[in-house]
Amino acid sequence: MKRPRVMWGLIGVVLTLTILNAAAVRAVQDLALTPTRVQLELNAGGSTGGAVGIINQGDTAYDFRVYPSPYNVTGEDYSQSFSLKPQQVDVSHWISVTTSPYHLTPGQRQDVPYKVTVPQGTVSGGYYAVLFAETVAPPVVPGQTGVILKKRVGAIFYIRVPGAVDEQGSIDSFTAHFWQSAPPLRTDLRMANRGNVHYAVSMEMVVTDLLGKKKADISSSNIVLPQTVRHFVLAWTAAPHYGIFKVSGTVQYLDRSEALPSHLVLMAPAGILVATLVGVVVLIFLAVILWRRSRRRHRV
Amino acid sequence: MKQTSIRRVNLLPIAGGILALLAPVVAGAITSNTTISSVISPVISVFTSGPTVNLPVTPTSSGSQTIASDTVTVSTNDPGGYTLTLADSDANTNLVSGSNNVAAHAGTQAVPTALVVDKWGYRIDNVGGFGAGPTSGATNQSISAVKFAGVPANASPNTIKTTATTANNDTTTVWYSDAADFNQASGTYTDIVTYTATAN
Repeated sequence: MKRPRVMWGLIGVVLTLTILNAAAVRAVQDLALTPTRVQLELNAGGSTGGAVGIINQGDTAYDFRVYPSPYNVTGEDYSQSFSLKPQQVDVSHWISVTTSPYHLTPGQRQDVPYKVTVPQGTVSGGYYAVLFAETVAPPVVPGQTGVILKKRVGAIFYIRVPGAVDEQGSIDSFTAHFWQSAPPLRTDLRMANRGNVHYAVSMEMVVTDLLGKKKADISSSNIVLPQTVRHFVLAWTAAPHYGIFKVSGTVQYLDRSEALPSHLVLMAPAGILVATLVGVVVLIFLAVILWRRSRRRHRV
Repeated sequence: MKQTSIRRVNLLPIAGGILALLAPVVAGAITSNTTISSVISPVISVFTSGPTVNLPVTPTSSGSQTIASDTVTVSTNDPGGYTLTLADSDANTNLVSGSNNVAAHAGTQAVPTALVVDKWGYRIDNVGGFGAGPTSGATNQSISAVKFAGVPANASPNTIKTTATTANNDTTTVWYSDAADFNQASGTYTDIVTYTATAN
């Protein structure tokens, strides 16, 4: 008779611990921003307005501020920097927002308006900045040495000032290692922009087997900034550990569509590949021996 | 034997009559299409395991070290993925208590080194030159050979993670450490570190 009581007691303890644990995990300041990027086309002297949405997706209230910063990248993997580069136009000054702090309770959303004004006389081309939403640092806890953490999320602004823009894009390279020892099946695409304005690129990689049957179709899209080469990794994460595949695809940018050169890729763990090669060599060796023996018998 | 006659009824005229009666209804039937559309907004979010990382140190003559972690969680449905950076909130990278400072460690994310006394820093397993770890927390231990880097100033953030696709509750664990001997004046030393997440 006691067993059912014990069982229900254990169930109650487990349920209570589960609820408490769930509550503890989400007691954090969750700062969310939408959209993640803003693309505008504005004439010199022109202006426009919009808003970014900040959402408290956690269960702790917090204060936050919104402010613009410069934005630039270095290297083909687009390492981001929010400081002004020498001779870079400070586009953050084009964006005006209220920088006073806002307060967000859990589940609340605050739409923060902004205005973008392109100065008169701005040369046509592409200009970039980021609008950040950043939590206000909590007060120092007396007697507690350590690190105070701030979070910030950014929406990247891509601003095109039309006119005599120089649009130049090209496929720099599309490569895939012939032998890849483990998934994912990886290809590397590099897109170059030698103009003075950004462009959008849509990429599609198609993987087929040797019989032409499609095995995967990987798509992606992004933006390439002027005077940069951007490196994209297109990967088939569900690739099997063993097989021979043909990789091809297309890239669409600046109103054109180009086919990517095709590559053969052998997916094989190193051990299996070595064992296969050894096996082939052994078979060839045995075949030669058997052939020679049969020739000797014929002569006799 | 009695034969049962089966009377066959020709149903074709009956069916035709029914169809003729229904013809106006059938002919008059109209269809209407409704397009269902859903706009899913691109969002990026970040939260950390706490608002602070506490690094209490009780110094010894040879130096005492404390290591503690923070977990940064990023989510985004931007198809380009995200980049997460770490930097001091300003140009002063010291832990500060009034006029006293604990300076940032000299090691860098690319070339980290073992923490030295009266310095503070961070590390992330499998990032840069930090090695695989695994790192574990410690309080007031002798200074270990675990490698750390100094937190960079706000103008030069370090990229600590970058992804190429959408992310749902993607975590990065950042370990902080402080080491002190009796040359470090007592006090409450703090600095502010900023994590920045942006879509790629």
